[in-house]
Amino acid sequence: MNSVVKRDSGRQGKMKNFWKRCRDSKFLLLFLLPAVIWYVIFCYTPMYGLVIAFKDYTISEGILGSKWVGLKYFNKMFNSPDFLNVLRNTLVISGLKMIFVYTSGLALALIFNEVRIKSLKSLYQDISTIPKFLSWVIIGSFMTQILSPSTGIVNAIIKLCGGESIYFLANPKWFVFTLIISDMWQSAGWNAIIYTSAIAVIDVALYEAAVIDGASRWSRMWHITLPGIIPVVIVMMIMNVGSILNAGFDQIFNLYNPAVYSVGDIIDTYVYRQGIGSLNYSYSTAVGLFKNVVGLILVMGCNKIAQKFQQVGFW
Amino acid sequence: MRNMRYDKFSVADILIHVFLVIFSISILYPIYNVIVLSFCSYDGLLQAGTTLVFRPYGFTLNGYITFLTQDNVLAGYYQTIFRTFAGTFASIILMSMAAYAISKKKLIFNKFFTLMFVITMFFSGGLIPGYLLIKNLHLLDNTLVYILGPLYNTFYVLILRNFFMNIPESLEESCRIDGGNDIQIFWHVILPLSKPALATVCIWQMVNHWNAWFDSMLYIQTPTKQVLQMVVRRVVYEQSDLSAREGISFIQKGSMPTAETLSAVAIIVAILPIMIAFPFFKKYFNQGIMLGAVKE
Repeated sequence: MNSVVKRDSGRQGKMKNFWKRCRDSKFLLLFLLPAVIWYVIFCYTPMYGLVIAFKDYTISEGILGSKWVGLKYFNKMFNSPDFLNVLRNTLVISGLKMIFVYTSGLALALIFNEVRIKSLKSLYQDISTIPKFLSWVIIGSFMTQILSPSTGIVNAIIKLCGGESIYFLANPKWFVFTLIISDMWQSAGWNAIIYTSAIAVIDVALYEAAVIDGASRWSRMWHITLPGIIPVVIVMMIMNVGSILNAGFDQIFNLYNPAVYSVGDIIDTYVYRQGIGSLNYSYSTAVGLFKNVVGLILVMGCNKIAQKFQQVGFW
Repeated sequence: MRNMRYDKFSVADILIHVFLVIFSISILYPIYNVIVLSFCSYDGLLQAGTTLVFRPYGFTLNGYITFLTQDNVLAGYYQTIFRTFAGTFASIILMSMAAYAISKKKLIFNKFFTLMFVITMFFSGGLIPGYLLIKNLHLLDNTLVYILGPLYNTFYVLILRNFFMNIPESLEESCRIDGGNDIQIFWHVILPLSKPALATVCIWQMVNHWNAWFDSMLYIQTPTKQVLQMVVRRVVYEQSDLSAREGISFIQKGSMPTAETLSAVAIIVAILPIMIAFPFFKKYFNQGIMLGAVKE
């Protein structure tokens, strides 16, 4: 036995080991092959295509043939009031969503926890997750009707109370508000699921001890339930900070219009209009690259911080 | 729940239920309203005076007939159904194969491959390079993009991988002792045991395909190759277009549909399968989020 081990640990042994491992993995590598091909073609090739952010790309010249211009488009970007406005919108909308949308999920979970009748609780929970399965094309259509200044329900109620109708989707003052509320409507139920699962793990004995000590329902929620899920709440919040530059392209693209570009245009919609609309391929790519790099740094940083809480690592 | 058998029924309970009922209505009523609207006629709505309806005024199937007989609508249905089933099927098979491979420690270069997949979750080429790629692959206006585009989703691959990693080695080994190779182990041992995870990923992917519209908008020009959501988008946001382009003047009067009822029909047609499937599949949606959020 000993002599065999000695022989295999030399350089020749390592080579033999390597080929053995290759042979052992041969079927697994076969399984992996389509995936590798797909990722290289559909994920890594476009990453190489990012290089056009540094060139004056034209379709006829192709990527290699286009002229190198270095940071020209990045300069254009940082000096463009349009872009700076778009960046501001993105951060504002994302920030507000982080505060309200994720809080609403938490609040909803806490409320669900207080429902006594189990069957009703399940029913409420299930209904609340329905909007998550509707695309923003659909939700947008609902909203266009409900918020219509002439025939919509909401404005009918407003007029009944003596006010004037508000064109929610076309009024810059109200557009962001509408975005936040509709996002809350769509995702509160879905976000609540994670918190509900976290609440279920809290030790029942804690509640029983609190009741014996005379704690009220509100007191129990504030001092037991909330602290019990704070780790999950924090981890979710941190992970969402990482995606602060994604303010919700799907939603905004389906709801916005030129009247509200000043407040509703976010980085992704700007990239879309510049690239696909105005055919400024290089500029659009530069903006996209900026967003991706900053986003990457944010996500990595946030994941490191979240890991410190020793809960959810990402992979 | 368990902590509440000590409390008396109080005002708080009533408020909670009131709030939850209102919230539930805010979700259910728009859907109900749209169902009812889709059966309304021009005369009926005129009589009702508002779109806030509870029953079909002037019940008619004309809305559906008008909508479904437009050329591109049935085509849209076909595209969406095709991509949902073919795309999901291809995805599930390929993703589970890849997930199985990286779940095995013995795989050579395992860390490299895993990293290769994970990086794509955090960084991508972006919109324009993606568009140029499709263009250079000559896939523009080719419905194959519907299947190839979403083929692999790293998040789902990781969910499957984590699930596979939790399957006891002993099961695998007993198959190996019987002379099985990796492929047979995968097919006869791993897959049958992974039904919950596979079902969850399968359903999520189906919903993704069903609701997809942006790739259709970006890469496809021919109207007959567009997906259902794009057709809905056209009908709802560009109502005047529909009658003008199709050359059909659907006269808005009598028992014919109005612009609103036609939008309602479009919406119903798009969400019907999801609404029907929802009660059956909600279990999978919910458990899936936990599979993804908790690291094993």
